Amino acid sequence: MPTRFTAHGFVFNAKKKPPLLLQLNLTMPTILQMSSANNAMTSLSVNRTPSTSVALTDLPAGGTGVVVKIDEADHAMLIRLKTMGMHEGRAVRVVRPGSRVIVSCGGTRIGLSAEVARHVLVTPTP
Amino acid sequence: MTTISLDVQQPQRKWNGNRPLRVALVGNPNCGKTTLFNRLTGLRAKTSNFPGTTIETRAGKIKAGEHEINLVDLPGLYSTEFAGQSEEMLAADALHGRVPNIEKPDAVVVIVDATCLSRHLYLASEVREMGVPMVVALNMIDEARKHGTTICLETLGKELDATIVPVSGRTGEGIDALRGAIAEDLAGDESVHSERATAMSERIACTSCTSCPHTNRHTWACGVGEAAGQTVSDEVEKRTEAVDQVLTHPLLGLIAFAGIMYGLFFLIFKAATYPMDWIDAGFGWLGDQAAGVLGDSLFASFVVDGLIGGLGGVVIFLPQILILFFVLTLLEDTGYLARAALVMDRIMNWVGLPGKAFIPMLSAHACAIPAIMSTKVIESRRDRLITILVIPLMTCSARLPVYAMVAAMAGAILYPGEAESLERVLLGAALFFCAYTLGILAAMGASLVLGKTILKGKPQELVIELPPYRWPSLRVAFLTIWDRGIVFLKQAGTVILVLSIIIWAAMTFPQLPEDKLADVAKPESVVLIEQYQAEGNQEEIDLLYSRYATEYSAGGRLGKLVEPIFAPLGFDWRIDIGVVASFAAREVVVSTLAITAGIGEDGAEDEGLLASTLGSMTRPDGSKLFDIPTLLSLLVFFVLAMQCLPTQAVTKRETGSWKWAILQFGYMTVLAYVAALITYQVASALV
Repeated sequence: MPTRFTAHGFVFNAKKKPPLLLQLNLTMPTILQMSSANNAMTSLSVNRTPSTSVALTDLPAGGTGVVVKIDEADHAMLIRLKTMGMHEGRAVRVVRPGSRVIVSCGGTRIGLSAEVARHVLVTPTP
Repeated sequence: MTTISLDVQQPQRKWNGNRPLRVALVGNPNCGKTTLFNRLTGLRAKTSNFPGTTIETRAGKIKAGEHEINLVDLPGLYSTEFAGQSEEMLAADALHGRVPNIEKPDAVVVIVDATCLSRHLYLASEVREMGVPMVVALNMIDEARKHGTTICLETLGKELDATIVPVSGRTGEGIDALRGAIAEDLAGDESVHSERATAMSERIACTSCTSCPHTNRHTWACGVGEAAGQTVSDEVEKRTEAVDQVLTHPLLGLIAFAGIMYGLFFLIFKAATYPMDWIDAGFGWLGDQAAGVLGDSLFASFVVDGLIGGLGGVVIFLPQILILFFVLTLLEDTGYLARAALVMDRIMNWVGLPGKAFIPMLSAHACAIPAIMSTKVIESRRDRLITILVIPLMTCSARLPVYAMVAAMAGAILYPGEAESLERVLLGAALFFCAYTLGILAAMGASLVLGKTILKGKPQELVIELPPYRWPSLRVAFLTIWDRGIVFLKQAGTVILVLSIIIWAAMTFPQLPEDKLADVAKPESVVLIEQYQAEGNQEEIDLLYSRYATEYSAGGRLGKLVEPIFAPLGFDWRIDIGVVASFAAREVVVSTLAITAGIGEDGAEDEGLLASTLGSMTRPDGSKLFDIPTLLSLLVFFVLAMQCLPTQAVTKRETGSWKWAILQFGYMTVLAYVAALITYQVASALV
């Protein structure tokens, strides 16, 4: 697992939208610990549980992932993403990160605001 | 098997052939639907609004075989079940027959993009499940072929249980075959279809039922897409992404956008001036001819000033409208407009609007009418209404004569002497700059205030498809401007014409009898009249007559009546007559002021004469009427006031009610009044 999906991504995520991590009772030191030991821990189950999923906004440029959760209850515009073809199980690639994210998904490019993108949870793929 | 539990109903046909078959054209946004619709119908299509809404639908009659078919182009949608936007929702409802006064379509042509098959099959599968007879048009087949994509029509046809017709809206390939399929499958023999449907229902079995309907359907669509032999072309994606590296870059993207917008503006301001001059000259000629035939009568005045002048005032906007829509259609066709909305989204959010609102607001600097018409691209009703309401605050080209007049007069006061001096030019530039900036700031402020009060809420978050870059089609662009031109002339033209005639009547009646001129004229004018009569100078007498006739008319009396209201702004009744007349069209103030100044309508053409004549007008106490505070106040008033009946008519049309047009008029007038009042009072205290 590449380090770019770990420390930076998690801390950033925790700052902006902590619920997922808090549900798992992960505190900041734990996360940092996890990330520093990440390369050695790849075989541990912790990386395969939902804790490995990050918000779409946390993927770097060119980063890829598989969508694990889009809950329409989180934001009204998410249903639109789904009908455009971005749904659970779909592989995505971030073309351009930022306050307006561009994602390539199933041969389609979708531009979306970070406000919507942060509700899309993905599992990063190497 | 790649199918999911498609709940296919037997296609039910209720059509019995004794009325035209209703066929709806359905497809994702960006599937080339409009191009295909235009191919099928040509210039025979008619644009109208869905009953009770401002969402447009286009319909046209086509011949398929010997059948007459009513083809309806529904707004683009991604899904019939989960439509989010108002347009999408309406399209879905129309398809399901849930829109009052719109009959459910008898059959459907689903358009799928051959270059992006899997995604477009989602909608096709939904339509399939509705159980309406359908034909699938596999659009952009030429492009897919160029990218080396081969599609097995048989597999696709079996999976969707429909005839698949490869077409290209761009080149016209396969259009006849599509007509044929519509005639055969949709209007033709029933038995063919029921056989197919039976085969279909046997084949489709529930193989994977999980909770998410989207996932299931997309999985099915992907499977079918793959089974039909589609290859995702990397080349297109790479090329598009390479261009996007620049065009969606936070900084480079803005620079590119600014460059493209500059080009658009150049066309609107520069290229449009030629046809505008022709139209102006044409209506002028027409007026002269009519005046020559009809002589000097009331009816002649009605025809020349009311009818021809009113119509000319409308048609003069046409070149700017057409150029704007032509360029916007080309930009949309290439896929660029989606990028423009993306790069401007962050900036526009500062004033509570989405990125898509930027182009209409910028276009408003040419003319508010096409700008308001182009707000159709804004999806959320709140965002769209705010944009429409603030658009007329932008400095449109009709304000320029007023700015020029104020600049000339202010220059004459502050820098007497040479008319073309550097100081005067700089002052003029500064006044123009301030006027433009004031308009923009006012629009930003107004959208913030409207977004926090009457139209509370947040701008819709951006979720937009960025289609691959394509060469635009000139054919589509020409058909679009044809369509826009007709809509503008027909819908707005009737209202505008009526309003122009009303304004003409207000400025004409009651008429001043010629022998009464001496009675109403001021003593100093009476002296002049007697002098001119002795000299036999009929021309000067006519000028004096038109000045007093304007004063004598209802509009002139209204100007005097409202004098107390506008006095705190530094306006006297002579300016007020201009203000009253300019509520029809703001540029009218210049010619009206010229008439009241006694140099006649033609005198307004000579800027130097106009400035010196107006500049020498005095108030009863002998002070100059147009001093600097009054000029500034007048400028501020004309920047901010809603003085354009055509715009109001278009606002009514695009919002669906006079309510918003009245609100627009009301808040802008109050804003203009208060701002001009402050300007006059502050400037008077300082000078």
